[in-house]
Amino acid sequence: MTQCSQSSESLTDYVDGLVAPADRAALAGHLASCESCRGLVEDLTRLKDAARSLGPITPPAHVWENIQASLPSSRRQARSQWLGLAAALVLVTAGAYLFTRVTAPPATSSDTAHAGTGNVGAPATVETVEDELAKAAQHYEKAISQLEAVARQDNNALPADAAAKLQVSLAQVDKFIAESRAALVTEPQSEPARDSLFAALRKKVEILQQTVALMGAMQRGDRETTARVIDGKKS
Amino acid sequence: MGESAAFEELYRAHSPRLFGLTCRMVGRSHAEDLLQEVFLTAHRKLDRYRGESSLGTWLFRLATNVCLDFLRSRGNRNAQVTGEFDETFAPEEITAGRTGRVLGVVDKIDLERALADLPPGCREVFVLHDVEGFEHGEIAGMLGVAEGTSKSQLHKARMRLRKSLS
Repeated sequence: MTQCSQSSESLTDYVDGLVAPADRAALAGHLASCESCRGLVEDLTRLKDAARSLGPITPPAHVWENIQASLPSSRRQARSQWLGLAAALVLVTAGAYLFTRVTAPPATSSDTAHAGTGNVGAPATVETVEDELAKAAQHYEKAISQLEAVARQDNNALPADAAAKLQVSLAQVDKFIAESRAALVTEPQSEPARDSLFAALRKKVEILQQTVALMGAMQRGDRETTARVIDGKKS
Repeated sequence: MGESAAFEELYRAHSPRLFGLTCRMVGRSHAEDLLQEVFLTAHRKLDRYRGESSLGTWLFRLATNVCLDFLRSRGNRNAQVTGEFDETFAPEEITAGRTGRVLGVVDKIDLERALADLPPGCREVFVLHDVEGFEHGEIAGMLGVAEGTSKSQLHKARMRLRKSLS
């Protein structure tokens, strides 16, 4: 086979979609007639696909045992960490579940290895949407109960005006949740009622997250974040 | 749920992906120690996590930094990224190896083995770009090198892997 003078770097760029449109057309024309370059592009594409399919690797059991044995036992430190973790788990159990599993387009196998798309479950089908929505609601409720437990425990630590504001907001959102549930009992297939329920659940999670973030910021003595959360501004 | 159970849940959900990253970045012999370091650091810093990014992304960035710090501590970064590969596998060899298609179906175990044999510099770039899906600009920022260096190392890594797997 005759050795072609086309640079192999340009073929790597071609495989990665980094070639300008005009050059891409010229390169595609060259590939149609050059077996050597076409073969290289096929190999590079195959290699890239194989790399994307490399999945997670389960660590040996003793790794967790070692981590557990090394965790600090300081009560104050652990309490502060738990606040952050509770906020974090809400995102995992509720938000991430709903948005990736119920509403996202079907994930490809390669997606699971990439940032932000890891741990995505199987795509929802029409038949399973009802089940998925019910599960999503359960995840929200679980997350809410976890956050409520944390918020209740440290409720006295909140400034009086923030605590009062929190109670008003929670009462309002609870009212919306109850109304949406009642509407769904009457019309189980009603999309507006379902949307309204999830919007209200999301709102409650958001309020509770802000509460936990506020408690965490106060515990750290982070005045800037404390003021921002009380004012209801996003960071 | 207690805090210990919650942290274990976090570990169970994210450790396989992070262990895959650490194994490929630094090799299996150091990966367990680094995974422990990642989760102990995460435990220490969890109160700073405010939910701006997904928790998985936050942990992944943390793990990437722990791997890169480890690799930096083992030698000069520039030497790792630009020197070691060129000395052992010159660009001329890469070009000369282009003789049409040589790869069949790429077996994952073979690919993992070939990946472990790559010099550290180009292995880091290949893992971050082709396995984990980062862009060259992001990789250049993480490694502290020019974007062109990231592209060139990726190209060399792919050509070397192609040769190993053919």
